[in-house]
Amino acid sequence: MHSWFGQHTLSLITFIPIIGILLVLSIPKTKETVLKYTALAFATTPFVLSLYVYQYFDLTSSKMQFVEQLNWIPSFNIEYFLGIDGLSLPMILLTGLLSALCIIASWNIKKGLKGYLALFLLLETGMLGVFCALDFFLFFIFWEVMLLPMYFLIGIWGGPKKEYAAIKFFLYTLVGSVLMLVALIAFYLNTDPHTFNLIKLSEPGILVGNQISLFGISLSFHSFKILLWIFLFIGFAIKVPLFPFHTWLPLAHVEAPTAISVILAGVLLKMGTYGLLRISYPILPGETLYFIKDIPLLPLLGVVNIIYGACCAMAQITLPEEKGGNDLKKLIAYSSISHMGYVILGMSAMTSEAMHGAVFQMFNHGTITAMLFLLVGVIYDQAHHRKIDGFGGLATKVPVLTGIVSVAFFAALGLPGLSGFISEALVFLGSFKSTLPGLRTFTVLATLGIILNAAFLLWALQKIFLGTLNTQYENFQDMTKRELITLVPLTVVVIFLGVYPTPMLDLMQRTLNNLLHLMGV
Amino acid sequence: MLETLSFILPELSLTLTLCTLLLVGLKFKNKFLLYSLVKMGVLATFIFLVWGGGGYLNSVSIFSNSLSIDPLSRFFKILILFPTLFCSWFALNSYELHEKSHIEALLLILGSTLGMFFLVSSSDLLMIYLSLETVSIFSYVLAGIRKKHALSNEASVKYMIFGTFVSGGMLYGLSLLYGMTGSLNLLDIATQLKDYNTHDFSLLFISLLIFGGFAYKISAVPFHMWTPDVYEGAPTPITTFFSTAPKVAGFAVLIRFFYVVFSTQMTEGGVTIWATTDLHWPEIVALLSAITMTVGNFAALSQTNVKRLLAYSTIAHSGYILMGFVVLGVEGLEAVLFYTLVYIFMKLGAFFVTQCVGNKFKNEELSSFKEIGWKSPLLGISMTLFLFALIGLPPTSGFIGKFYLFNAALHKGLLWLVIVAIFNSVVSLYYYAKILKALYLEKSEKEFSFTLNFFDSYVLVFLSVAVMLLGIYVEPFIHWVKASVYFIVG
Repeated sequence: MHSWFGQHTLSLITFIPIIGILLVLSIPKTKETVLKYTALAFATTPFVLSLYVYQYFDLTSSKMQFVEQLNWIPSFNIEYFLGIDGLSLPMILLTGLLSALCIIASWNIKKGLKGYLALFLLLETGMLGVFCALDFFLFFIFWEVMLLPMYFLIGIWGGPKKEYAAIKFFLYTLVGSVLMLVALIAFYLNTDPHTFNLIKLSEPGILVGNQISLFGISLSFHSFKILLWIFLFIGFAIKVPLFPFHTWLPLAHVEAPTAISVILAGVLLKMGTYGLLRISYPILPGETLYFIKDIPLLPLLGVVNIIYGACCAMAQITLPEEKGGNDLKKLIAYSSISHMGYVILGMSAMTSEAMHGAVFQMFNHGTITAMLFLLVGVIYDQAHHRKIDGFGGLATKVPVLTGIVSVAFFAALGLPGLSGFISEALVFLGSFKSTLPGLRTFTVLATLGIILNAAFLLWALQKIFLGTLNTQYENFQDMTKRELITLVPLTVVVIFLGVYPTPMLDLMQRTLNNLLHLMGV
Repeated sequence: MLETLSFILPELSLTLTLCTLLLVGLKFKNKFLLYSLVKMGVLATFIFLVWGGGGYLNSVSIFSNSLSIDPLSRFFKILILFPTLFCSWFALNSYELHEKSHIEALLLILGSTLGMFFLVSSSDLLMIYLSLETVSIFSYVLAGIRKKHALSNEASVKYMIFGTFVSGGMLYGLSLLYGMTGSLNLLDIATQLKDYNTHDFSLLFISLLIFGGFAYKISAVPFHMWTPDVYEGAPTPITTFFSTAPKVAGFAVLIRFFYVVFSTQMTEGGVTIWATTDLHWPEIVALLSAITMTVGNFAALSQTNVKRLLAYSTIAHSGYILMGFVVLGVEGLEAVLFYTLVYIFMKLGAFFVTQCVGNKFKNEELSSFKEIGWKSPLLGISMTLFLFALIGLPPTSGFIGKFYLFNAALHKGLLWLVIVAIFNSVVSLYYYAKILKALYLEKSEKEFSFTLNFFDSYVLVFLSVAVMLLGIYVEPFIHWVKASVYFIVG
C-alpha cells in the first residue's frame, strides 16, 4: 500500500491505455496481430490493477482510498485528485473487464485497425478517469475526452447511418456537458476559498452566494441552486439516458460496431447515474430531495423510463421493418433504457436497500447488456442481418449459443439465481419501503416493467431460437472460441453474483450508507 | 535620446529586418534564404522584447507619452510575432502566390507587424490612428496581392472601402474627443473626462464612433461584413495572418483605450467595474458579444468553403473574446489575454492545414478535404486537434481559454451571456464536425496520395504541441498573463 506502486495505482489504471496508444501508433499497420495483442495487453492491465485495488480495498471505511492529490493549476485551485470509494470501484472493475473483452470482440476489425485500437484505448482512459477523478474540473476533462474517440468509433466503423448517429451522439452529449460546465464554474465561484474539490464541495453549507439575475429575472441563491441542479441533471440525464433525452441512444447503439455498443451500454450509460450520485446528490442534497419529495421528478422519470423503454422494445417485435421495428439490436437498446429506469427509481427512494439495488443494478446492467450486445454481434456476423423474424429454430443448430443467449435474456428479465434479479429485487424492496410520498405508487407501476420485459425478451427468444428451423440457416455455425472467450467470463459473473452477491454489496455498503447519511435521510 | 531608443529596440530590429529583406530580395529569390532572414529578425525582436529595455516587467512612456512600453504591450507583441513568423513560411509555400510576389508578401507582412507593434503600445490618439492606418494600408495591399485574380482584387477593394469609411468615422470621433478634452494623451483625457457631465449624448456618440474603428479590426458585428469576402479572396497565408495578428492587436488597443479612457476603477465586492460614465457600456458590449458570436456561428453553418467557414468562425471567436472584455476587471482582462494566446495557435493551425490541402487540390472547398485523414495521418490528427480546440473541448487549450472566459463572465454575474456562449459552442460543433466528417468519414471520388514535406510536418507538430501544451501545462502561461495584466489594473 505504501509503496510507489500502491500510491499511484489509480494513475496507472487511468493512464496505462495512453501508453498503449503510443505503442500502437508506432507499430506498422501491416502487423495486425501484434497490434491487436498490444492493444489487448494495455486494455487488460487496468483490469488487473483494479483487481489489485479490490484486494486491498478497505471495506470498513467510507473514506476515499488510494488517494492521489497534486496541484495542477494552482491559479484556479485545480487539483489532480484521484481516489475511489465503494461507488467508483465497482464501476472501475466493470470498465476494466468490458474494455478487455471488447478488444477481443473487435478482433475482426479490418478497416483502419490501428486507428480503431488507438481510439479505443483513449476511450478507456476517459472512462476510467471519470470514475477515478475527485476534482470536478478533472472529472469534466475526462468526461469530454470520451467524446472524440466515441465520435470517430461510431462514425467510421459504424453501420449504414453511422454519420448521422455519430453527430447526434456528439451534439446531445455536448449540450449536456456545456450545461455541466456552467454548474462547475458556479460551484467554483460560490465557494470560499474557490475549489473544485468534490470532497470539499460536499461539505454542508459550503456553497454560499448572492442573488443573480438571468435575462432580467432576479434569482435568489436558493433558486439559483435549483437551476444548477437542473443543469447538472440535464447533463447526466442525457448520458443515462432519461426520457425525453433518450433519442440519441437507439440510433447510436444500433449503428455502432458491436464492441462500441457494448461500451456505450455497459459503461457510458452508467456515467450519468454515477455523476448524479457523485456530484448532484452530495453537493446539492437539498435540491435533490426537492426533486424527489416536492416535485417527484426523479422517481417519475425512472418509472417512465422503465415502462416506455419496455414498450419501445416490445414495438420492435410487433412493428414491421419499414416502420423502424424488427431489429434485435434496437430491442436490446430500448431494453437498456428500461433497465436504467430501475437505477433511477432506486436512487430516488433514499433507502439503504434501494440505493444498494441501484448501484448493484448499474454493475449488473453493465455485464448483462454487454452480453446481449455481444450476442447480437455473434448472430449478425453470420447472418448479416438482425431481423427478429428472419430466424427461427436456431436452437437445434447452435445449442451453445442458445444456452448463453438464454442466460443473458433470463438475467435481463430478472430470473432468480441470476444477478439482475438481486438488484431489481433490492430496488423494489427499498423503494416500496420508502416513506417518501408517492414512491409506493411508483414502485407498483414499475413492476409492470418486469412483465413487459419478460414478454418481449421471451417473445424474441422464441422467434429466433425456437420453432421450426429456418432452412436458410441449415449451416449456421455455433460460437467460435474467440466468441466464447468474450462471453463466458460475463456469464460466470452474472451467475456468481446472482447466487452470491455479498462481495459486491459489501463493497458499496459503507459508501452508500454514508451518502444517505450526508443527504440527511 | 539613445536611452529612449533602447526601448524601441524590437521595433528597430523589425525595421532593420525589413530593409535587409528588401535589399537581399532584389538579388536572391531562394525561399529558405528569405525565410531565414525573417526568422532571424523575428528572433532578434523576441530577444529584445523579453530582455531589452530594462526587462520584461519594466514599463515606461516615451516620445512625449505617445508610446507606452509595458508588459501588456510586450505580451501582445510577442503574440503577434508568431503569426508573422508562421505566415511568412506559409506565404513562401502557397500555390496562390507567384514566386515573384514572395518578397512582396514578406515585406508587407513585416510592415504590417511593425504597424501593430506601434498600435499595441500607443497611448495617444494620434499614435493610435497612425498605427491603425499603417496596419490597414498594408492589409489592403496584402489582400490584393494576387494581381490577376478577381476574388483577390475584390477582397482588396472591399477591405479598403469598408476600412476607409470606418476609420473616417473613428477619426471624427477622435477629433471630437480632442475637442472636448483638449488633449491627445489617453491619461490626460481620462482625467478630463472625470469632471465631465456624463449624461451627455456626445460622449456616447464619440465612444460609439471610436468603438466602430476597433470593432472593424476585430470583426465584431455589425462591422464584420468585410470579413468573409476578404478572407476568401485573399491567399490563404494572408488570410491566416489577417485572422490572427491584426485581431489580437485590435483587442490590445481596444483594451488600452477603453480601460484608460472610459473606466475608472471602482471595486465592488472584489470586482472592478466600469464606472466613469453613465453609459451602459458593459450592457452594450455584452449584447454585441452575444450577437457577434451568434451571427458568426450561424453563418458558418451553411458554408462549404473551408476558408470562408474559418472566416465566420473568426467572427464567432471575436464574440467569445468580447465576453472577457465586458468584464473590464482583472478576471476579464486575464481571460482575454489568455484566449488570444491560445486562439493564435489554433487558428494558425487550422488555416495551415487548409493551406496544405489547398496546395494539393488548388481549392479550399470542403469536398477537397475528403479522406485526407487517412491519406495523411499527421494532417488529419493535427486538424482534429485544432478543430477540437476551436470548439473548446478538453484537453486542448481551447477549453481552458473558454473556461477562463466563462469564469470571468460568471464572476460578474453574466449568466445569460454564458448561456448564449455555451449554446454557440454547441452550434459551432456542427460545422467544425463537417470538416472532421470530410477528413475521416467520407470517401473521396479521386484516387490520390498525400505526402507532407519535412518542414510542413515540423510546423504542424509544433502547432499541435502548442495547442495541447497550453491545455495541460497551463500554470506558467497563466502567470505570464497575470504579470502582463498587472501593469494596467494593478
